[in-house]
Amino acid sequence: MKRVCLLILFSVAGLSVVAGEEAEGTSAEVTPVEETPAEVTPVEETPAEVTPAEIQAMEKKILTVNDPAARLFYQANIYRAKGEMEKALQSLAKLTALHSHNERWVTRSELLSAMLYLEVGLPDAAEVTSRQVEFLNKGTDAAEQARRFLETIGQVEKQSEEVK
Amino acid sequence: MRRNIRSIVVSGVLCMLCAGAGAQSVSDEELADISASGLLYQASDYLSQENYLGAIPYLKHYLDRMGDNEEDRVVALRQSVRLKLGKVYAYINDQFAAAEYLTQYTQTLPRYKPREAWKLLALACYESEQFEACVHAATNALSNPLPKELPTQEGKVDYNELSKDDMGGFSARQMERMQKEVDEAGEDTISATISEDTPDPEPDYTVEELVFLNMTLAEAYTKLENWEASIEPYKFVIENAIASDRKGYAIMQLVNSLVALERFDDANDFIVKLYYTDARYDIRVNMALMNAASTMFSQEKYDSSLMLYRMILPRSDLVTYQMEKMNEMRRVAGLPRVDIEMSTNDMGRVQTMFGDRYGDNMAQADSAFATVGLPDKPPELNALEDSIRTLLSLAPYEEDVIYRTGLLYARSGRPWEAVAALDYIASREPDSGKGQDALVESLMVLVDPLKKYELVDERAMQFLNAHSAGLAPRRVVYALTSSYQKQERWKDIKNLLPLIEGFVPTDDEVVLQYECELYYMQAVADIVLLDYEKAKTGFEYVLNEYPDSHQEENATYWHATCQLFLKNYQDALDEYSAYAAAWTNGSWLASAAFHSGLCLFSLEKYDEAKVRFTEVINTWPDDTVYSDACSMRGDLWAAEDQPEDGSYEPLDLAKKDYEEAIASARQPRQAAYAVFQMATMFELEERYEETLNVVNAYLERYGEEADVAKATFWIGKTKLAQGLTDEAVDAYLETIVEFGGDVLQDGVDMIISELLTLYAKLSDEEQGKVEAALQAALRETEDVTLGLRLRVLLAEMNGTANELGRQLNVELDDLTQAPPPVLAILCDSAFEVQDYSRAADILNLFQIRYEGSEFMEAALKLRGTELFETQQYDAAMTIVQDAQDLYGQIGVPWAQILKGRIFLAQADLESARELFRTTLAVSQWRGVTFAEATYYLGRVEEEAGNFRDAFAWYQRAYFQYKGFAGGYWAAEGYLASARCLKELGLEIDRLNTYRAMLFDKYVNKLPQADVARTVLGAEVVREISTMIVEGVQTNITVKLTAEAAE
Repeated sequence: MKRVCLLILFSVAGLSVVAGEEAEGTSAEVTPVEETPAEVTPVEETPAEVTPAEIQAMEKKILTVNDPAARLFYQANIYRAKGEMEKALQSLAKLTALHSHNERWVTRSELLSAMLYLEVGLPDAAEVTSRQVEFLNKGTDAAEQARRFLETIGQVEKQSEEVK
Repeated sequence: MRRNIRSIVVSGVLCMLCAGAGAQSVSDEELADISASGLLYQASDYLSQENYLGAIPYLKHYLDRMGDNEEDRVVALRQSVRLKLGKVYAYINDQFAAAEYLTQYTQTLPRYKPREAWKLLALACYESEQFEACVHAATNALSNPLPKELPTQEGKVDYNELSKDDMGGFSARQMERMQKEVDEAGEDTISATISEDTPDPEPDYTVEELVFLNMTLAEAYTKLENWEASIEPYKFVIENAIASDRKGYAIMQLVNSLVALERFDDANDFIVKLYYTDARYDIRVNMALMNAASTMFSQEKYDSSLMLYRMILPRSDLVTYQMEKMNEMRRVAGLPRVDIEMSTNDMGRVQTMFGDRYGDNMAQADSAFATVGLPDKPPELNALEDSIRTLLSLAPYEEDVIYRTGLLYARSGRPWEAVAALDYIASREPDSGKGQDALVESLMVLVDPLKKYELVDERAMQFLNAHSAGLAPRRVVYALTSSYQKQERWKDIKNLLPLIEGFVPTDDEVVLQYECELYYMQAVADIVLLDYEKAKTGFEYVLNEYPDSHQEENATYWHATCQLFLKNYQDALDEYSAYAAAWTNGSWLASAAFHSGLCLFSLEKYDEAKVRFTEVINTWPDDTVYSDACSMRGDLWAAEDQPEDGSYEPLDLAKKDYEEAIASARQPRQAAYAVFQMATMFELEERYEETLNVVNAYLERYGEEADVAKATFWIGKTKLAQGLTDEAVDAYLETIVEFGGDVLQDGVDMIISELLTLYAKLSDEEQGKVEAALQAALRETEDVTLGLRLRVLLAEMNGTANELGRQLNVELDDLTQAPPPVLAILCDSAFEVQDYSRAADILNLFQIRYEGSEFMEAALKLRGTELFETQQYDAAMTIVQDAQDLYGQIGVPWAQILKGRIFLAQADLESARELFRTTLAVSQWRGVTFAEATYYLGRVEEEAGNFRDAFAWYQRAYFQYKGFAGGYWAAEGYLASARCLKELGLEIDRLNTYRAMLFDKYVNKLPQADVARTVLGAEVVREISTMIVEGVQTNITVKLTAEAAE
């Protein structure tokens, strides 16, 4: 299960296999990381469970990432794995704000930000972020993901209202 | 973009570059010697050599010479010459001259090439910035004009009929041959068209030409700010342009027009289209994007604005793209690839050159431009090189984009993105205006919604330690103040005052506006801290130091309100009137009128108050104070006696107003006030069912927002009145436990008071049950406040309140969790032992948090007594007045006595006498208050030297009131009587008084009896003791003539 979660965490980053091997203790060599991700992979809504060893491996791997945007995204995932959601958000915010032309990373950064905003109790920010991702990426998978997440936010808020 | 368009158009006419070098000067004399046809021949010759400048004098001279000739042939030739000149001037970029000849052409017949002429004229007018003429020309061109002949058109020139002068030395055959050569040269050269011949009809415009014309028309409309008219031609370009960058440029311009027309939704649609064109690599498009993005931002169209900002590419991306494009053009032109080289010249300026990609020095790079030995550069390549140079010479704009997107994230609600962008700018440019603005904006986001207050403190203070001049420090303090307001750290706001006062003075209006705001917020903090005097001073400062400021109206209103809070009712009333006169459309008008009514109420001008509340009710039915005004008028009706003529029933009117107040309440507080006032009114008339109805309706309407405890209090009272004691007690106990943990829940305190009254009437068994329930609740709760309330209840029931008071006085260092009943027993126990150490603090706590609580009376009594004992008589009198205002004179007899004692201490014996005599007339005060008043009447007379009268009052105190206050006042009466008898020289009576005192079982065990024992001596005391033991009844009496006590 842990391994699966780790794979999910890094599936968009191209680190999954390497990080997984590190976690198993089968690979000590630091390999340069593939920085060209494939299509925008859906961001998992459930935070993954990751062991300290796995996190350590991820932290080691991040040193080999040259692209500053990619590095920020990986760093955010590490924070997320550690449960430090606000720090994760800050990393993603830097990516979005300062590397907005890095088309490889900015959209997935925003999608993940939207999710983390909801997790840290800022649903309005989650909604704005999702809406803007949908608007900026009309007709793409990312826009569809954002639209679905907007629905999720709506449901969460409705449930929250009901609880109140 | 214009340059590209022009080159496209002109290149459609011209084959090659002008040779240029052949422009030989020719004098007017020489021209005069040439025949008219010779002029045309010479011009044609130059044109065929592409020496366009050389042809101009001949063509112009021809027009001058033949200007008056109205032969059809000549008229046609002149038209042809005009068109030619128009083209030549357009080519050499003298657009005014081009426009002049082309205009003449389009206004004269015959016009064989109207489409070409209008098209060229449109271009010439645009280039010479004659935009209205451009619109006229382009519109004509797009109307697909047809050639027009002269009314009577002749055929071709017959060279055999020309004069010698016309022939210019050529034979007719030579002339025909030359004409043939010219004709064969084709349509695409300027030289081809000097002819009076009727040409073939013009072909339709090509799509490219239509795109050009529409673009020119749209651009001219844009220059004229005729946004609406520009839309259709831009749309034509967007739909028909082949080149992606041109299409993108048109989209960008269309977006600008739509933005200008505030058709933001339409603009959004085109913005998305623009995103997918190559126009985004055009620097002019990027600059236009910034403008459009800024406009969208100011219109709060954040999503569209963000898209535009995202489309603005970094300069490096633009250069890379354009360089690739340039090298592709160079490849096509047979030129080598180049790279950018940048260097700083001797003047320190950055120079940009396009070096040979594989070259090894700049000289070689320059040679690439010079194209020595290489093919000529196409004009488009030169244009592109110019564009890249312009791009590289621009000031960096990327950080501006980051700053603006940071603001956008802040406004649209993406806080962490905002902080990331703004912090980046603040760190890059810490001393620039933009950098400092970024810091402030970041701080504001960290305050709200991120609530990173500590970070705000840290960053703000770090900045303020280094900056005290200009706008930024004021804005930083503004951010700090906002942060403290959010946290309700009002005292910390006040701690910022020295910083504000330390700012470097300035005359800058914007800076002063912020400064004014900061002082205003300081005064607001004073109000919240209930320091109304300081708040009043603060608002005065704003009004005096920042006249005509944006806060003038607010400061004026709040100054008046401070006067109200300070109970300066007349001043407040005057200031509210002044406010209403100065701001006839002011935002506080309704509130000012309502508070004026409160002032009049407090000044006991009840009729005027009622008129004022009625004015509020009639004038501002939609304002928040409407409900309050209804309640207040209801109170006035409720306090009114029924008129003798019975013309109206005040209580009915009160009920009606309360009901309206409830119905129109905007806040639960407003409804609660009216509901419970109405309940009080019903209680007086024992209208229990109505009480239940109104309270239950209130509970139903407001649910969790309702003051359930207070509602329970009233429901319980109703049940008690209906004899449902058990139900009332159960409801009370349940409510105390449920809501007793809230220190501010005054409804619970009302229940506690009611329950204590009720408890005394219960049977032992019932009392036992209540106590058991309270004990159980006390054992179970971990809530400090509820625990305190329960302990007080139990102590009051057991008669151990004073002990608990003393115990709690030791236990409770912090009184903020102590609810009013707890504070009250602290005061009572302290009063017993004359311990005034916490009197001021407790009263202050009441006044800040529990003003209006019935338990505050104990605090007033303690503090008033302390002030009296320390001879602060004016302050003590204020407390007395407050107590009597709050609880009514009858409700606070101690205040009446204290007031008399103050008069006495101030030697105002007349007032004191009057007051104590009046006190004895109040039947509700029978008992201990009578005893005290009687005693103090004795003191008044004693002070006046009327010892017989004094004796009489003292004697009455120990005769009539020995059973009250544990005999205290009787004992005091004995001693004071003896004192008077001594003054009167009646020694035997004095000793008898002491003897009587020792025989009096109500007083002889009190400490005061020791005085009598001392005076009488041990032997007498022993005798008296023996006699008392033996059951001897004394008949000792002292009789004096005294009228006063009669």
